[in-house]
Amino acid sequence: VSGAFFIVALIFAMAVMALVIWTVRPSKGSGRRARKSLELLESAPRHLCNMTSIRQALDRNDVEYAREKGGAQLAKRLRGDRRKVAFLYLAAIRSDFEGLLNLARVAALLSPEISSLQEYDRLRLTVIFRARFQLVRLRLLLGNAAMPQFGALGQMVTSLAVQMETAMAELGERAARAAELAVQSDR
Amino acid sequence: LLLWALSALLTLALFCYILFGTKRSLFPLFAAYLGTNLLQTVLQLVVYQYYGTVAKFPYGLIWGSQAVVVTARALAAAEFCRRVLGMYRGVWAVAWRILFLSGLLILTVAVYFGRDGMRLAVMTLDIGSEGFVATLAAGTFLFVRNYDVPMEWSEKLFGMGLTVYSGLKIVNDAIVTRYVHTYGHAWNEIGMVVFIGAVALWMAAVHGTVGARALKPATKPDDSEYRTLIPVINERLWQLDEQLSRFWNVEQPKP
Repeated sequence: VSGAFFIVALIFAMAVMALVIWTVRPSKGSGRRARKSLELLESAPRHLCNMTSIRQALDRNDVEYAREKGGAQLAKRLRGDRRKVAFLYLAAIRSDFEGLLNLARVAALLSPEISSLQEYDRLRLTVIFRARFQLVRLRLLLGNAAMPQFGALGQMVTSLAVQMETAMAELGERAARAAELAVQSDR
Repeated sequence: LLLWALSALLTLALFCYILFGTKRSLFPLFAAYLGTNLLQTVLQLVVYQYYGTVAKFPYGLIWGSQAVVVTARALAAAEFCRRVLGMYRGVWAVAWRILFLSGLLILTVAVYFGRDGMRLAVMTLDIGSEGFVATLAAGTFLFVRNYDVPMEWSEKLFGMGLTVYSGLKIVNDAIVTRYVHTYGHAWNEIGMVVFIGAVALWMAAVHGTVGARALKPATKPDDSEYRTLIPVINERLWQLDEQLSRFWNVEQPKP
């Protein structure tokens, strides 16, 4: 057989064995992840509080203004800070995404009947999101600091929190009703 | 010969332990695999005794029986997947399709790119089949990790036995296809040592299995919560992705 086939076969075999050893080790983060997912609901309003200052910091006019008034050095520093903010915001989007994924996983596991269509949908979305996230990150790393509609992003994060809170509250009410019914039927 | 006898004895012991023990109903396909393996051993004994090891007929027959054995192991791997994920119906519906297609892809790729004459074609077919089994078993672990599915240690050992055996068999086969003259003698011995290790893992796994899993996880009484929550979560995930997409496509803001 060809050398390439030989190498690919070896790499594949090593990869599956390493993968199993990696997955078999106890998961340290599951409890922490679950807590983080719930914190998502509480942390989103904080994003909103910071939104005005983030938008202000990202305004391109500000950089131009800084260049005119404070010189190139200041503008450069401002651009650097602006990139840092962009990275932080990207990290926040990712964190929200991962938090929601964790909630979805928990919901999927707790339900005896789950929809394979919904699971497919989420799996596809996860792959797309992660690929796109890395592309955006790479673009920022390469120095393209074109700033997106951060305001819309912030609103979205907030509405996400509100909707999740509503859904969780609904779940709580249902659970309480179910417990009540169970008690009544026991009597 | 000692290794060969040891591996046959261990296989027989495990086969009897499952067949005559209380766990027969838990591992039907795995027991079938062990039975097939033992039959292959008997076939090897008879054929090599009668025809010797040089003739063409035994070569084809033994490798033909190997296809049956690997197929039986693939079924045992599928049984393992179902045992671990089967109770979560939606996860299982996604998992078995993805795992089966991935395994099939690996098998096809291996057979297509590894074809190199009739003698080695059998070996590359074996590599592809082992790749199929390894993908099923390792993929199950990935789904377990992704969904945080609770898994007993005995199940982990069982899955590890399947994956590590297939993985090491791929390595062993790949080396022999490349260095057939220098590695040919060691190939058989190493293969048997690996098999003995895998049987030891499976023995520990079968011994440690306490009983059948509950058919359904003891959680919520119905799936209405899931049906309420999941579409909302998925919708919001799509919106997050949409935002990221805008981030990517955004034009430079006009001053």
